[in-house]
Amino acid sequence: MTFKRALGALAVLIVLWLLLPTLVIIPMSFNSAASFNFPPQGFSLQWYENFFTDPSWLRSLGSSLQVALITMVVATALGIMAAIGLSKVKFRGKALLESYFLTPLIVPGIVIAIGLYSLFLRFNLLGTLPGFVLAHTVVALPLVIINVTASLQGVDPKLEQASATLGAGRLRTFFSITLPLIMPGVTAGALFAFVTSFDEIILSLFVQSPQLQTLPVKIYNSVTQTSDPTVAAVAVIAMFTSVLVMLTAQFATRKRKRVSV
Amino acid sequence: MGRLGYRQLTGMPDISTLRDRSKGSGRGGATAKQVREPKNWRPFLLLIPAFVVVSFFFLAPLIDVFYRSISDPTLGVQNYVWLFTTPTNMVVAFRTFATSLLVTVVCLLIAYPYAYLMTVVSDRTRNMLQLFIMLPLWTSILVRTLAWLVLLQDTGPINGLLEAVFGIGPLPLIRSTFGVALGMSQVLLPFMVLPIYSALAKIDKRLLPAAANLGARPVTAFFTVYLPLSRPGIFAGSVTVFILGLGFYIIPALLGSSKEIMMSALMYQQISGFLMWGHGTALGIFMLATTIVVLALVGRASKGTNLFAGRGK
Amino acid sequence: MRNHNLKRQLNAIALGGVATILMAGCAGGTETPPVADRDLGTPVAGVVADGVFDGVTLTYAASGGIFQDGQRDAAWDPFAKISGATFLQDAFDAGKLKAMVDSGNVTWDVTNATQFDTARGCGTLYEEYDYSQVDISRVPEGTITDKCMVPNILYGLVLAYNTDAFGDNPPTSAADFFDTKKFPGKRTVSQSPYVDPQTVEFALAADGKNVNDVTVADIDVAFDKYRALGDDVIGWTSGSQAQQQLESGEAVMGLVWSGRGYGAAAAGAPVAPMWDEWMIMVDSTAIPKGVKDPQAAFAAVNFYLGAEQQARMTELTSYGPVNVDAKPKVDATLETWLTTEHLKTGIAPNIDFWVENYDALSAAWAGWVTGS
Repeated sequence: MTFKRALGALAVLIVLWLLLPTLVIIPMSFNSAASFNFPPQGFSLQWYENFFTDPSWLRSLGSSLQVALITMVVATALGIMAAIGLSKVKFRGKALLESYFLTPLIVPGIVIAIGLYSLFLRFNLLGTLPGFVLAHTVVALPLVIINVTASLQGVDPKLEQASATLGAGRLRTFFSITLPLIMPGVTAGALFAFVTSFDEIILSLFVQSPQLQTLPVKIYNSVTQTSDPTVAAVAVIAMFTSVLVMLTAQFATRKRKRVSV
Repeated sequence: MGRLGYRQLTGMPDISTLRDRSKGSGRGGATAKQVREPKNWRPFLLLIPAFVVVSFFFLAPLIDVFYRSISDPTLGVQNYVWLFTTPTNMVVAFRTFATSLLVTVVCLLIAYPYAYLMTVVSDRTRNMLQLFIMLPLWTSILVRTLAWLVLLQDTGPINGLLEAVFGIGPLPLIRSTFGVALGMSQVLLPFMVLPIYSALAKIDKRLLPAAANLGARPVTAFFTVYLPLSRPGIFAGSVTVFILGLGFYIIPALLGSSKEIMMSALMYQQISGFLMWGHGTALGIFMLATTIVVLALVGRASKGTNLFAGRGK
Repeated sequence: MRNHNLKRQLNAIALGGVATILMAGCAGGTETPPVADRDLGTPVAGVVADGVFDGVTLTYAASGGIFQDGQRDAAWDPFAKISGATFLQDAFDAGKLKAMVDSGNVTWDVTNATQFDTARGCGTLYEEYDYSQVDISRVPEGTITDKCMVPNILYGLVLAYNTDAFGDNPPTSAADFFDTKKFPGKRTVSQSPYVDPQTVEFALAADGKNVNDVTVADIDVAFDKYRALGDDVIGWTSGSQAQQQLESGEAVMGLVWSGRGYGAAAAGAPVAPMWDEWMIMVDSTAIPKGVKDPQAAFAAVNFYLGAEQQARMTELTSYGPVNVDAKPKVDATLETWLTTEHLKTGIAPNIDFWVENYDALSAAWAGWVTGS
């Protein structure tokens, strides 16, 4: 089948194209010269050393992890409630309400960011943990809702009925029947919430203050203000953190296939 | 697992889920009614926290943006008059549409064969192909763009290679529509591949041989049988890519020249460069309105094919 | 019973969500300590009393990079150490500043702005200085150009060129920037979101025009001159990008901030400045309107102006000191980039004209940076 082979060759090219920038950053992070030029001129660990000895980089990595973790918890909790709520109610404006929860995904980031800035300024939320978490939750929530809703569709309502008939309370039914069934969707949604927050840049640029800066903010400032290759090392570290999270997500979804099919 | 497939595997945001889910959940709602009390208002409580957060931290900021656009510096529509009478704005608005459209077409042309391949390979290969599509999503856009900048610049390795091998002078790979389209398509490709894959996976593979048995040539069979059936996926992917493309900021700024600047940058410039919050917020509302209009138009145009459902009639 | 339980639980969850939001609304932010009128005596540049600002938090907002790091190390951190204050650094954004001033919640205390910014926003965006609280006796003559500023740095918009390309026959005038026959190759020029009148003046100077005779019609003339360079002109939207373009050789010539040219040279790139015709730049140290503790802000600026601090600032940033007594120890590379040695051939901006015609300039600038 030459056709399939040609497709395969095309796919290889596409994959190369997708991975190229990622593959370039790795050697750049080991460059011995203080520049972004490629190919690098020699091998050195100095940019990694910079990262691990500069408290401001480490602090921003810590802040990013903290914000992402809390965002994950908040967005997942709200998302599960909303998805279950949506699956159980029926009223005229429901489609509208669903769209309402999902719109933050399609509104240009800069528009929300500008609005959030003035709002947060008034409520003293700039550069605070709640400020970051709430801003990130708005964009992470839709991902949780989509994932949880998708796996709720695979849940047979008869199971919940059976549980109720056997005398289990709703909460008990939720925790012992529904939650295990939708767990893969919950896990995937939670991880997406984590990564969304961990990589969020435009809202963060407006929500940050010197007291609290996440890693993407620091990366942005570094890229636009200096020509410091430390940012390449930071990118690699951040990338591995994200990929780790993503592999976990893949693992979770693999389990889920077994559950829902 | 067909229809839910890509969402289950990836959890990708996808507008095609909007109506889709309301159907599924409608069914759930009906079931709930049978079992529980006829008027069950408790599930509404579950919606409150999400509703409050989205209202406070998404809707309220948007209202603030809108209010500024009609009140800064004075109450009135002067900012919108400015928006529509300033040639620069119209040039940039047109360019934003054109770029986004170009990126949509590029993504479509690349994504379709890729998604098709995903439907004909083994499970293992499919998972690999899926992983490769998702992997770049987890490298920060900023860093990826920086890498493109280094690769594509006149003194970069690609141009160096071209010169060494073919003896052609530096090509305008960067500071050009090419550079911007390359960077943007790379970021947006997953949003095209996944819905198309999900549509293709549902098509009965026996249809093409059946068409061939009836005497259709492969090309004819593809265009008359296969392509129409994959249309919902193409629609969903294209709309998503187009709308997301409209809001891009960093990539056009870094990989383009001033001639590739898009609306988001113009908005930021009015606010931070010129301190014209009125102008900037009016541009923001314009972008938002455009997005909504595009969604509405596409929704109407595709009513027959049930675009949002992400599947054929 | 079961239903009651669920109802309670659900209510609790819902209330919890709302409570989180309400709490978030009240939490955070920095509490300002009560501002007493401290008796600080007559100010002496570079001096602050021990522990006088204990518990005060100040924030400096500037454009970042080596520039802001150098200022922090030379002046703001030492000030904090002596006075007991805490000094934070933030990235400046004029749009944010306006929002702060409008909302009455100003979180910055000292900012770096252009002379044009302070001249234009004096009294509305920026606080007028109380010069009795700041010792300006050693500030270079003519560098205080409005009531809302003291100078922040002395620098320039200079033509930096690649010495590998033009080492034997370097450019010697502003006009050479536009001469692509004699000096082939790409040149980079500002297309940052921030309007820069001196980029316009440079093009006019290349035509032999005196910047003091500029008219509104000249604005388009200047941009057309840049546009006429066609594919040979590329833009920079941030100082680091300008530096990167010079370092990589992407641009053989650039109209860049002197510190960025120096940055490229210091990183080993073959880049040199052209001093025969250049634009003198003075940045303002400005205090946002409605600053929470003006006395502390003035004291910090007063400390910043000290001779020792300025010498150190210059050594760290390459930008010229704003105290005439400052004696920075500079190496050979830095010396070639110090604007203070070349003031005779520098062109000072026509501030009044640009403040008056800002709208015309910004409209033209918007067209220039969006390629329309």
